[in-house]
Amino acid sequence: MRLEVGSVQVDEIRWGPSTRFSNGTLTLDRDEIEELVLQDSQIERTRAEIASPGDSVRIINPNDKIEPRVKVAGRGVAYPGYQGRPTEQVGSGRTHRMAGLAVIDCLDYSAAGESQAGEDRTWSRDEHGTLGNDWPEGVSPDFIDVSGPGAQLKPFGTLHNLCIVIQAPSGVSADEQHGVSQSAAMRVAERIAETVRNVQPDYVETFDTQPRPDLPSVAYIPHLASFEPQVGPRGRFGSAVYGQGRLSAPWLLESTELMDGAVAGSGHTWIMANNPVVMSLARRHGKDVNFLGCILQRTNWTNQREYVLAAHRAGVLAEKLGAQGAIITTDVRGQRWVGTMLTVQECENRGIDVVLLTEEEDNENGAAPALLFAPTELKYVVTTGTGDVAGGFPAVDRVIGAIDEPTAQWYKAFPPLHGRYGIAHVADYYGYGSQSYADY
Amino acid sequence: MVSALPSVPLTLGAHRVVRGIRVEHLCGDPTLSPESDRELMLLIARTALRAIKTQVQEPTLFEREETQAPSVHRELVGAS
Amino acid sequence: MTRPLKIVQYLNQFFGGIGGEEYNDQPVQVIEGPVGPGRALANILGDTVAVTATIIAGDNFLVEEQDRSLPPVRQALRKYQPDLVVAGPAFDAGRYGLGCALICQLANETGINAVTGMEPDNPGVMSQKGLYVIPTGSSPAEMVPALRKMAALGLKLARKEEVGSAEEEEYLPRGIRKPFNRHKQGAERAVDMVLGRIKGEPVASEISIRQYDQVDPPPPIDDLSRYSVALITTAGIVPRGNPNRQSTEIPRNYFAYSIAGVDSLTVQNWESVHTGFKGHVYNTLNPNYALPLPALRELDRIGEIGQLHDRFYSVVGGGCPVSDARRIGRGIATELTDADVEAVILEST
Repeated sequence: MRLEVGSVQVDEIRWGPSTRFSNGTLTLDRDEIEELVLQDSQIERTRAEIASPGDSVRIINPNDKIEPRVKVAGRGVAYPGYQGRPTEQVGSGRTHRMAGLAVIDCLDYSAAGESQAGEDRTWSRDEHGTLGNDWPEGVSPDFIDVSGPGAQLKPFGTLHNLCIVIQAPSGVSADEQHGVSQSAAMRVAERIAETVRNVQPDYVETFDTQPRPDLPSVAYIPHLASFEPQVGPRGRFGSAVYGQGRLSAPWLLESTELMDGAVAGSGHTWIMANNPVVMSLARRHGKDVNFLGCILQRTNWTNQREYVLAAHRAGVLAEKLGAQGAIITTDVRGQRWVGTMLTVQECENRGIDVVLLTEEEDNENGAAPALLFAPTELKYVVTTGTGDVAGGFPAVDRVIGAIDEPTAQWYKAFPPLHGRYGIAHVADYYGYGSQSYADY
Repeated sequence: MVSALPSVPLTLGAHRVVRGIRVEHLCGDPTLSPESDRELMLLIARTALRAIKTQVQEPTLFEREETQAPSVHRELVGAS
Repeated sequence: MTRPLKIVQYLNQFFGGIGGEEYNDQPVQVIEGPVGPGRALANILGDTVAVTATIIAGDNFLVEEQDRSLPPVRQALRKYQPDLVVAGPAFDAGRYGLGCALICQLANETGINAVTGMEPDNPGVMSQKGLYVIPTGSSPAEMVPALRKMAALGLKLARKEEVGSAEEEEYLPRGIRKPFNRHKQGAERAVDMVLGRIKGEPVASEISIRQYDQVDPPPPIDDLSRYSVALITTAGIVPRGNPNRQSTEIPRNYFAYSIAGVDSLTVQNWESVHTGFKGHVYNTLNPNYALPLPALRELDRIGEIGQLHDRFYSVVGGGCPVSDARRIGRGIATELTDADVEAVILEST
């Protein structure tokens, strides 16, 4: 497949009388954006906010993050299948992307009670506990600062962010709340992407997936959490492949399909369309690597034999593709680590050289291993650290992400964050940054 | 211990591991009739007792079965 | 002008010039100034550093008779107040390696930085925690290059400067991991690494795989009918309403709840607060799936177990610091031991 990706750089974002893009400046009609969100009658209240790099702003309650992209030539739509969109195959033709921009839906639950006794406490009754003595009560580590030392570690701290704050509808399941919120963000992203359909991009990269068997052949195997055990096969939670979030045998996708947004959801929509492993392999395809494609492994199987089966199928695909090497990533830990390790084993046992790219566990100053567990086959690991932030988080002037005024705690300075065990802040599962850990 | 994902405890060095059904219904199966479900839970508990009564040298997986011999499986994640 | 840095070096009987294997029971002696390899070390270090004393002892004496061997070493360190202790290098000599590690550990305990050198497989490497060990070859022919590396790291330690990563400073990993910027995107590093592997080039993993501590399997219990059996669940089963505010995701504590007189858990009275998987089944259908109480009551009734302990233990299984996990496990084990429970069935979700 052949895909041209035209990057339109967004240098500035501001409110104005109409929504348009001109000379690097995105002007947004705030009323239009908010009305677009309120098209869904389940959403009672919303507010659109802007946060740009260097602003003294903290974004709280972030849900999904989307880079506005539009197909200007070729089949299908950007982010196919996602929240009910068409599922035609993408990955060829031409796509325009708005570089330096993210649409973030901030889902504020404070007005919504528990939806359904028992079932939804995964999302509604969480008691995270404290983040440590120096952290104020009632704050969670999942926020985005767009200035200060923490801003450089996540993509979104360096982007212009259009935040759609949404009051979570009450009386519906958490799954539906997320679906409503993510659909609204996608409507907004789609509208904004239209402004660059006919704009001359700042630069165009062409990706041709034509095989180059003369070069070392590498497959990419990300593990994507499915929430089927929690929300059923048609739930809207979790990472989706062409909109499918269910547990399934591994999918084989071309790199260009991911660039068109074929994997979305779970807060990873932006990073999966810009997946650093995919982009690195795709850019080096034909130069020093033969990038075979992406084997998308689903995880969250709930017993061992299913995990083993899934690992076998990924191994069969990789071998059949002719992979000499594979880069394996995993988007969250816990029991998903089982599936990831089985895939590592399966590939190594088939003679495929594996490199695992992952965050690591807290070493507790030498008291604990850096990985949850590791089979003997796992020998080569690239680590993006524990998700900690050394520099701390300065106090901010503005907090975005709550429908009503957020608690005063959220404006405060937060100390450096020591990573892992539910308090990871960076969550760099795909090697976006250069931060890492080393032996001392 | 009873686990639906025995490769984890076996790799970490747990000595007596009994295979459970699923993470979300470890010691039974709601798709079975109440009678069969009760039997299944009893069988899992009995397998656990059998594990406690068995001499082991290394991490060992005990499958549910009527025979009294422990079945040592290494389907895992190289318990080393 | 600052004062010259002071170094005390430790050597065994052979390198200290006393003699070979037959002298390995030599007691500790302290000599002013450098001896043997110490002279080479002094040459490498130059004028700003002085090897003020050399501690020499027989390999066996130092390691095997620590009651007698260590006091004079402590005394020497007090007397000379060095900025750094250099031990060895020991190369592939096992007992010498153990001795070097012992001396470094002693120095560290008294607040003095220390560096040693030996072959990575030398048992001395693993014998003490947190030591700075420069990897060497097996042969004393490599004395000078080994000393050079030890001196480079040693100078930083003597000056109390920040020490870089094991890879940067060429010492053996000490089991401690810290943040480290690799100045190259993680994804690019992964592509480089996988291509290196395919081409058969030497590549270095960013994590050296390490396993957990292992414990010996407890002996089997032949006749359970004479013993008390307890239940532990990691599904976070608690009385409905979560009165103790058990954490829902990261294990922080354990709680014990009475099941005296209870034959089966009901959804009216119990719930799972674990967020990591679908609590739906446990919470709406059958909490006993996470704590097979009816089955254990049945086994108790027919005499297959002596009795079922009347309290079960509940934790939330999830990622947590090993130190917390150890504290929780130890706490439960202690309470169960105190209650004369001999066997446990742990339901791990």
